[in-house]
Amino acid sequence: MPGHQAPFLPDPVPLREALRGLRHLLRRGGETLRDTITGTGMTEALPRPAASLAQSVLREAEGIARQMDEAASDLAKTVLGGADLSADARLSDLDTGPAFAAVIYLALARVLDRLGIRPAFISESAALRALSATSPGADDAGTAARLTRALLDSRVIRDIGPEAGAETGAIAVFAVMLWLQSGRGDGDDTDALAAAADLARALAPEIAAAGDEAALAQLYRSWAPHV
Amino acid sequence: MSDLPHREALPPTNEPLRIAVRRLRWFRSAFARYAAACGAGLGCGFMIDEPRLARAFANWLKAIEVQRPKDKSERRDFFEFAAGLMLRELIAEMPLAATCAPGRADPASAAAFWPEGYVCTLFCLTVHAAALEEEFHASPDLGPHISSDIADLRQWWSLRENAHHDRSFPAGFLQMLLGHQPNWSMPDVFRARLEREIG
Repeated sequence: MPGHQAPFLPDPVPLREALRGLRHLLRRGGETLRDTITGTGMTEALPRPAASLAQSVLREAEGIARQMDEAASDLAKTVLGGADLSADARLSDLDTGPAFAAVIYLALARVLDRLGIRPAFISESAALRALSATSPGADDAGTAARLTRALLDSRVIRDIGPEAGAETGAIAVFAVMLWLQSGRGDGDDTDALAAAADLARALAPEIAAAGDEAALAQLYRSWAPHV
Repeated sequence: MSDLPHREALPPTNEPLRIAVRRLRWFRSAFARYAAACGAGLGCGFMIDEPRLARAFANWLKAIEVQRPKDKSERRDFFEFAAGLMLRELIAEMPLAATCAPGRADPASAAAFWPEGYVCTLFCLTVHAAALEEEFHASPDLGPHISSDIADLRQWWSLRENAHHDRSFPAGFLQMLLGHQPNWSMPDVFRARLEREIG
């Protein structure tokens, strides 16, 4: 058709990332508000009429933040699309780029949830950059070790909650890499990911001690069959 | 006691049991189902601390890897020994917590005395029995000695007290239930046990 132009389709990754960033800020802000209302005693310290007024304003602000959070989440999920955790996801999908970055994003979100870490900001763009910077290794474990370093260097997990230990990011990435290497069947992904997260947490000292790619790859070889 | 209870609670698997049991997914599911079945029989529920269970599982695999014999003729002995290491790690981490006193258990029984230790021990025995049958078409020696040992509260008191001070003790306890005379100075060292039995 002469003169026909394809409709402009924005790259969904930066848009999703922006909406997730907004949601993260709102959640962080919501927590601060909740702490202020219930935890710090600041409002209780005010004289009675001022305390009631302050609490009422803060609760209203919290409600607005929650609505915006839900709107941002819905928009990110429904309008811009996303990926599902798929039983088919494997490390050999490295070259699928954005699709694989979306899987890493979702898997990291679930692992952090399993580890009781929230909120944290997970960057799908950083995952995409790490994927493009990673060449396949000699085997899946070698690829996983390279990708682990690249993901951590790109700071795929940011602004992690204060309750998390220093190694939480490395444990979460290790868990996702273990999961990608584990033998999984249909409908097995949630179980496998939870098992990978629990196993990674149990192996925290070994993960911290794996100083280079070779040691990390050996750790993957040893433990991927046990997810 | 020649038939271990709740064996049907172990989940089905398409893999050989010796492989499945070394996957956390199967191990976790088996442990949860087994504890639930025991709880229903004993009249109490159990809460499972999954991070502790995963730690016990990982430590068990590490211990197996370190001690695995190269000589294939020792494989069957090691199967039995590995069950003792599993109990050692479960007791050390103790991922179970009974939510109430086991109302249906005989108050003078091991299950009433220490429900969590009792369930962990029977779980290890049950998994061992199922794997032994599958691999060697044999059943463990669960003759009259096991009935008297399991019924003897002094043994359980000893397990609970000693495990507190010496984490290797449960490995010897399980070997004793399986009809062996453990090397109590090193009950969690395979080579020491083998040399003792060979004489």
